Amino acid sequence: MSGGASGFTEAGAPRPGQLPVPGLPPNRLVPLLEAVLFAATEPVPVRRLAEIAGVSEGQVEAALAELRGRLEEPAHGVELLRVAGGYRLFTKKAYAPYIEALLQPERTQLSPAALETLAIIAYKQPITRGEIEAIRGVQCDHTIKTLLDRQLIREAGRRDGPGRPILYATTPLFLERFGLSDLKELPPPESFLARDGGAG
Amino acid sequence: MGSDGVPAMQPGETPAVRSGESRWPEVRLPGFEGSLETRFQQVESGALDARAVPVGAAVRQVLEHLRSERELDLEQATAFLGLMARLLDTKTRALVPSEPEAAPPPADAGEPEGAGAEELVERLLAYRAFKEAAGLLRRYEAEQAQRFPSGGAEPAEHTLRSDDVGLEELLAAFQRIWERASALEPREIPRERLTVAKRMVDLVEALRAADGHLTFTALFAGEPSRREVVVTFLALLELVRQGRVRLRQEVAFGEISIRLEEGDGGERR
Repeated sequence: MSGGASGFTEAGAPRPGQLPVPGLPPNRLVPLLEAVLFAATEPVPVRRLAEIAGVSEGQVEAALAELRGRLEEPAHGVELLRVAGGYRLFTKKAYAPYIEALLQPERTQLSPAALETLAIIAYKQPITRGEIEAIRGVQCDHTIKTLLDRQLIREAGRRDGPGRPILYATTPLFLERFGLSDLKELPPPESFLARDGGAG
Repeated sequence: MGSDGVPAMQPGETPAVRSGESRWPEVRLPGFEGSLETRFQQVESGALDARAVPVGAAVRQVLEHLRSERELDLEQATAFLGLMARLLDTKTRALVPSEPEAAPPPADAGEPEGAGAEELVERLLAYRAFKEAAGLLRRYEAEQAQRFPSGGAEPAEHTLRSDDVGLEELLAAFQRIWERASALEPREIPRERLTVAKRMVDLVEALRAADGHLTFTALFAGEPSRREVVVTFLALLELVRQGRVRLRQEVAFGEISIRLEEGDGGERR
């Protein structure tokens, strides 16, 4: 990483009031995005990054690709990931034990029942509680409440029909927690049924 | 700076995350040994005839296992109950000779014969698919749990946000208050309209008046009725859940202190 390239010096750095800078040199865009993403507390969509930096989305994409490549090098402890439709910096997996030593997170694992319910919602959303229960064969109000409390699912309107039951769908936090950028990244449901063939 | 690479680190050591291993007790049945879940999967996939599974023996063994656990794992117990019910259901259906057109078909007639069995198979297959999907999610979750996001703080989870007061301590304190309330003489009670919502407002106001600090017992000062005690306790739990108050207990069995958390939530009244 060489500093001060091509005459773009600290003195020439844009003051906050001047942002967005129309002619921001590309060699400044990468550190700018790095700084923004470092400070961000949730995944930032490319469109938003383009607005902030005052450049096109294509330029942002290119700069992010470069940043991502740089961070992949062992000299860096963080990496850039695309989750929940945006970009966010994460510490690298290899350092997890150290971060845990620092933060001592109390991550409570989801119960098998909660995960099953979440899987059903992820694949069949929006879906009512009754429909989930028909698949699982047991009552799910408690697990649904757990998932709501953990903000992994949300209420997504109501289904027309008797009782107008509440529909449930997954949240962006779900995508982030499971390292998905998009619901489309989930393997197609057929892949789970393909085995053993025959029946059905 | 000098040395490259990472200081001593045990590869694959991820203390926070357990692999999604089956938590099912092992069972020993004629011609079969292993996790009951495996067996159930065989039944579901049709690899094993449900009629060949000694359900009674399996139930007894698992019940024994559940009893031998020091602590009853409710999650496991319910999952087990559901599993056994389905197994029993499947076996019963397999044992009972299928009567053609036994029950009048619901709503739309003209369903092909054996639609019930087919539907069952389909449902079990769908269920199994989601079970596998759940396994996949578990792996995704475990993987992602090892990466910590920028900005640190994750959105507040609605766990009991209390420094060192667990539910048990809280319940023990409640028990003491409850006993006191129960010991009171019977008396004329004026009709009261007490709601948790209103009591939450009262509590916050009381806390504000007391510079944001009150003790647990102070909440139940005077001679509260049982109803009052319950409503106050529920209101407190709800405030804790919403992260609007924080509980702290300095010593075991000591007084629990309640602190008002303001300014971060942006909730104002």
